[in-house]
Amino acid sequence: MIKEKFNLTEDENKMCFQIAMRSHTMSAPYCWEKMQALAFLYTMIPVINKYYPEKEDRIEGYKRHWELFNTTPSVSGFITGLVASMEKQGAEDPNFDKSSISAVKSSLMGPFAGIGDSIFQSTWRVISMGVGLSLAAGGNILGPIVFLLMYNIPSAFVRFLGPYVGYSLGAKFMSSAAENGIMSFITKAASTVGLMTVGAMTATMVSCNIGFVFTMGGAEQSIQAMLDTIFPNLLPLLLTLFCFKLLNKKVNATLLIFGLMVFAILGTWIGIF
Amino acid sequence: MMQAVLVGLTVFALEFIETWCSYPMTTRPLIVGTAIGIVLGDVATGVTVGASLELVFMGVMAIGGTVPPDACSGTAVGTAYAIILGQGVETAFTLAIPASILCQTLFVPLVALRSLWSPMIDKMVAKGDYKGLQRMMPVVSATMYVFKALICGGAVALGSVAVQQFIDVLPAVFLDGMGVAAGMLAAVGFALLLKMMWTKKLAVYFFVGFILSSYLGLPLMAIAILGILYVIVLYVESSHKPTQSSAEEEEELFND
Repeated sequence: MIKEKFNLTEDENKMCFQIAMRSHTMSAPYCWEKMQALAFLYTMIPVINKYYPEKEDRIEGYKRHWELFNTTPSVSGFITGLVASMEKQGAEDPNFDKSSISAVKSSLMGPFAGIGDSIFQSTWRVISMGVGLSLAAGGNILGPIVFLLMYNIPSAFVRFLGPYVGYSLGAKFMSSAAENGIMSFITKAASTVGLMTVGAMTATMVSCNIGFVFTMGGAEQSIQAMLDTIFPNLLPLLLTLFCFKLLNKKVNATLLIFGLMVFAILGTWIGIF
Repeated sequence: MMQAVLVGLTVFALEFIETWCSYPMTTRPLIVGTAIGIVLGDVATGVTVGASLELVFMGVMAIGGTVPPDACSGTAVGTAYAIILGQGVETAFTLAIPASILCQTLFVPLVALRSLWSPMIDKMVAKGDYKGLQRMMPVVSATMYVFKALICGGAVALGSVAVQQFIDVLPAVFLDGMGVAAGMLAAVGFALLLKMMWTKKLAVYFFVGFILSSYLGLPLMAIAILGILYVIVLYVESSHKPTQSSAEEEEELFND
């Protein structure tokens, strides 16, 4: 079915399937200096072996992909598929400048990481986690199951189709998509939806209640109840924005976590919370 | 001891699935907590601890080469203690956060260990030994997980008695405070997420989402769908303007 959709031959279909499977390992051998290079090379091995029968050409090809590469694994398939189509061109056309392969790789990994991080790692993960967490209350195992399914079904779809799309659309389309603003639109659109869900979750999932009660005119007044009638969840909102402000001032997240823990313990001791 | 081995193996398996299948999110605290709960025979505690740690670590995600606190190992150790010692979320918290930060500091040298294989890979590339290269994949990636699994398993094996004694001497107000902190620390998680997404022009949508949830009480999915529909409206509107190309228009709409 995929074969007809993308107009591929039997052989190409098989290769795209292999690329799809191997692209999944993109972050497995991550190391500091070349990042995902080994996994990219691993993904390209069947492609190079297919198009270059001569040993020297193959070695040159392996060298080309044993270089720094880093993008979001979920969308890496678009780039690996695209590079496969360029390798094919390079093998068939002696005038093809093979250095353009590395150029395309390094020019696309940034935009794709941006799009992949904002859609999958931030927005969609946060939405499905929000749904999962709300089901997980009281230790219900449905929570984690729903989270895994909800996150993985759409992302597996994209992960798997990536190489087919990249291979059949080719370099021109991808670079123009990166340049004409479509990709940056999608990135910003994902951030918009992401910000809305983070705002919603700030209201429901951050808890900060003042337990302090005072007596006025013989009746007990709870500060928290007063706050809730005026602006529900005001304290969680302020606390989140305060943390955000500190993070922006380059305060270390670890320090912030410990600071809040100390603050919570002191507050409990004094009786504020 | 058996429990320590199980924890180590679980961490190894989860890390392996995570990186060999394009991040299916199996190292998120919610999933790690659940998995540890399953292998140690207390699913409900596992899910509960995982869910509350998830809120803290929600915004913690290795993006752009940063090294965040290691949510996976922290959750594994914290959940394991909570189950083995029969304690609640507060205990898990007290232990999970230091454990995750310890593993964060170990993460850099552990990943650096992988680079030890680089000269060997260089040689294989030069020789065109692609079969050797394919064999290097699991070796290189396992180089780190093995140590991580050993650290988590080791912490469970060595620490139970000491940790129990440590918890016994803690004053009650400390554990109560940790319970309060559990709810407050989610703010750090969301603040980290905000840092990733926040731009001056888009900031207003954070407040839109907050108000929709806090005042109107809409469920999260409804807000997400509203957001998606709104973005589609923006896109359709912007592509109808005749004078400018749609791309430029989008850029303007969303310019930082």
